[in-house]
Amino acid sequence: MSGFSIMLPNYKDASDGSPIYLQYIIASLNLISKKLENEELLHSQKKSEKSKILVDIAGIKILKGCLLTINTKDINDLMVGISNSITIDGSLTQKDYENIFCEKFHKMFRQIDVCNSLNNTVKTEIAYNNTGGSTFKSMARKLAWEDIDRTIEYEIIEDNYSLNSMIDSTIHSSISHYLWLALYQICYYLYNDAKKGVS
Amino acid sequence: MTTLHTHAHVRLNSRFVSSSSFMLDKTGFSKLFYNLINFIDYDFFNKVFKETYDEILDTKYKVKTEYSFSPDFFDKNYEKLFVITLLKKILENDDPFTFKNDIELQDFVFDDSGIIEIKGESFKNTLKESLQKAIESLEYSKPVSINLDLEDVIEIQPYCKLF
Repeated sequence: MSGFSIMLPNYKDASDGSPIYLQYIIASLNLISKKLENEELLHSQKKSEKSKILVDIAGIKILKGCLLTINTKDINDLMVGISNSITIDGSLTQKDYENIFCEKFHKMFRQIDVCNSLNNTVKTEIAYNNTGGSTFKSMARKLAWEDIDRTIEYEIIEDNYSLNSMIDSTIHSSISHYLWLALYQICYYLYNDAKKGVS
Repeated sequence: MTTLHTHAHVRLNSRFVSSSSFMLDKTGFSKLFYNLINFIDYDFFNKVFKETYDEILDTKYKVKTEYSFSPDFFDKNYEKLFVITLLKKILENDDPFTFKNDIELQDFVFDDSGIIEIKGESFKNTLKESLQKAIESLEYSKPVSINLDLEDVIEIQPYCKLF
């Protein structure tokens, strides 16, 4: 597969807070999924590549849908449904649950991406942002595909944009623990990582 | 075949629904599959899982009299058929989801002036579209295999007929 490039508009002010940043992420996901769904790209590929692209599109749709629910008013029923839909090992308390989530989520944005990028610049993208944040590309990849080993051949050209404010504001204030729990379940990477005895 | 081993335990509403050891090629499909079924209603999933199981079993053992849940049940010729059949059954239902209220989503796109808000799809439609993409993806993919280990067989016993 030849891949493609997308020029994402600058995200100028991370201090806008998480809702604005979320909109930026969702708009970016739209760009990516539209590019993937582009007839020329999808239908010129071999069957195996088409299969991968379709899975990616489906993953993006789920991710986007879940992220969009954050800003909706009537989400309680949905969140309850999501929260009830999966049970982590019974030995884990809710506090454990939250701790696992917050810690892993934090690492996902701030540490894993950067470390992986710096340690393996071939496999993963370089973290442009050297302020302790990450890049949108790697974040979307972790969220949507949760697979650090997987090589995705889509290339996204991006300018610097900081996630720091977004991370801080969302972790500490903007999103409740309740939503964190739901997001935990949405991010399958975290789910698998938290479960014990899963090979 | 390059394979990805995912030992997935799925709990819906605190109960085991299925537990399988998947050997899938690296399409990322297994993760997508488990992400999707996490939103599916437990009772409904149980029902279509058993229906699918019986259908595929009937297909496979048509010429045999034995009815056993053995590790070789899901061989490479039937895994893909099983999952496609299961997903289609889920998609045929108008509302297979575990949550009651749907949500109309407000989507966001870029334009010259920045990010603008547009009317998006509902959350349930988003999931249904993902289900459809998953089916299409499997139809494009090569056959893959599922191997059930002993633990999985024990977990999945409710779906087996006893003789």
